Amino acid sequence: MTSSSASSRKILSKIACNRLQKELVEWQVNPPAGFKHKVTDNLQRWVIEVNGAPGTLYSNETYQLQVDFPEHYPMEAPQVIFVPPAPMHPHIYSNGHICLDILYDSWSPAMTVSSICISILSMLSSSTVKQRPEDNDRYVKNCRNGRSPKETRWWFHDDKV
Amino acid sequence: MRAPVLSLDSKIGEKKKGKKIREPLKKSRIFQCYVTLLGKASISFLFIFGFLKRGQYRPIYKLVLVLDSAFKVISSSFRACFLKTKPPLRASSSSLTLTQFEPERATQREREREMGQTGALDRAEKLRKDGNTYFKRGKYLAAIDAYTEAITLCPKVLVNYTNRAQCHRVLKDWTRVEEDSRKAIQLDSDWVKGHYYLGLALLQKQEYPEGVKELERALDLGRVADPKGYMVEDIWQELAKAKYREWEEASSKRAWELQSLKEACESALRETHDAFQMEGFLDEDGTTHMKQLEALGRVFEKAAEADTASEVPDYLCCNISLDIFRDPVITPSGVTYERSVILDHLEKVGKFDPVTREPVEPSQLIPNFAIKEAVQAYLKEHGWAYRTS
Repeated sequence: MTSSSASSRKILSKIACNRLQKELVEWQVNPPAGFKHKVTDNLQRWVIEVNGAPGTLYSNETYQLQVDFPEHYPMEAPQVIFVPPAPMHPHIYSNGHICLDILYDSWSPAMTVSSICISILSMLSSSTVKQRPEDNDRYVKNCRNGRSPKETRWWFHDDKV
Repeated sequence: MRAPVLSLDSKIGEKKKGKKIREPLKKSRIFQCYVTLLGKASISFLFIFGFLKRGQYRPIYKLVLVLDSAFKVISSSFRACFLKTKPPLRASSSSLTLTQFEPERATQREREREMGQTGALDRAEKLRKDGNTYFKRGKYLAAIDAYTEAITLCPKVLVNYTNRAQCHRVLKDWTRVEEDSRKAIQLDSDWVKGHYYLGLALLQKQEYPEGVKELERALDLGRVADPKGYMVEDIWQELAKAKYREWEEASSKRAWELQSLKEACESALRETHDAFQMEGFLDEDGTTHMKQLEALGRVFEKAAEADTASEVPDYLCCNISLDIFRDPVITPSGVTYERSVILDHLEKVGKFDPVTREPVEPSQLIPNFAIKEAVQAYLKEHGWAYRTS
């Protein structure tokens, strides 16, 4: 698995813990459509099942998202990647890394796991071709030693898809 | 002689800040002994003139410092003899305050001169520091002794009272906590820690409303001083704990009352139903009776609603912490956040509104009193929302 090294992560701060517990309760009461989160006792890593929306290129396909929370969440963005096999998409690399600005430079603490999921689903739904990003091979090769996508300097060249 | 000395040293002190000053001071202490012992001030003056002629100002500065501190040592030991207290333990203390606490130094010197007890103040300060060290090491009795001694020396320094109260708090000696915090408040009615510890002591004594009032006062004062500080968080935790306990007690009493009232109503309904049946007024297979019982159940459920823990409505919660508001502030975009949380965001993430992404400066945050009052009203009815994880 290409998941980034989880061993070096610090435990969640008290504020992060509080907030994640509240998000979890909210998710259980009102989960975003098309997503399933199997609740475990690990608050720091959520594994979420995504179902491609009907009527899109990804309908009837199921993928898994892995969300890892940093110590100072929500003042810092969580790390969100697809567990390979990742969907074929011009902004999703084969190692599961997602090129989506809100996960990096445009993160805001008012966003939640739920709102991230909705953004990712709409990114999938609006895609017109099933293909990898142009620089996929080069990028994946660079990330081989388990680098986190948060360490990448992203260029968000295209906001249409 | 003193006036030019002071003006010179402050001028040069401004030019050469901090560390650079301390080095010549060390060397000067060696000179200081000679000059004090021999008392040959006149020779130094000759030196000064010599340097002045040659335009070398640095050696003059050194000499001036030497003369200045020598004068202080002599005068303070004279004073000490008259007051029968020991001279200051750290001979260089006055010159250290000179560099470290530039703005305070003038007033402090004046105060010292006025009261004529440099020794007492210095010793009390040292005792307080000793006390703090003992406290950190968990030696609470030793710390109490140190603070007590400091208080005897300078009964008007209020930090020592609340520091001592903190020791008593750890040792659970609540009567003493109350005594010390009251003394601190007497000296300064706006002293956050005084109100905080007094509140805790009163709560321990089961004086509930007074205790809560003190904690609320401490919270208000603490927020003015430092809205993001650990103190505010600690005080809130204690206050929430007390309020939650109060709610638990009151709500279990209410639940018990409702339950017994419900049982009484149910049996009364049953009796009337039975009496009708005896007299031969049979309703159709008892549906009316069942409906009445159901309606009664609904009424009592409704009555217990406020005491049933559930979710706080979103409009009373911060968009970032997802927690109920304590100190809500509104941004220029019109979104309300918890003060400490939005300040943290502006500092760590960026100077923009987390929801609208409009630029925001910390100074643009304005307290949202309407939401604060709404929260107070909600908490009054739904005490379970005070629950802290």
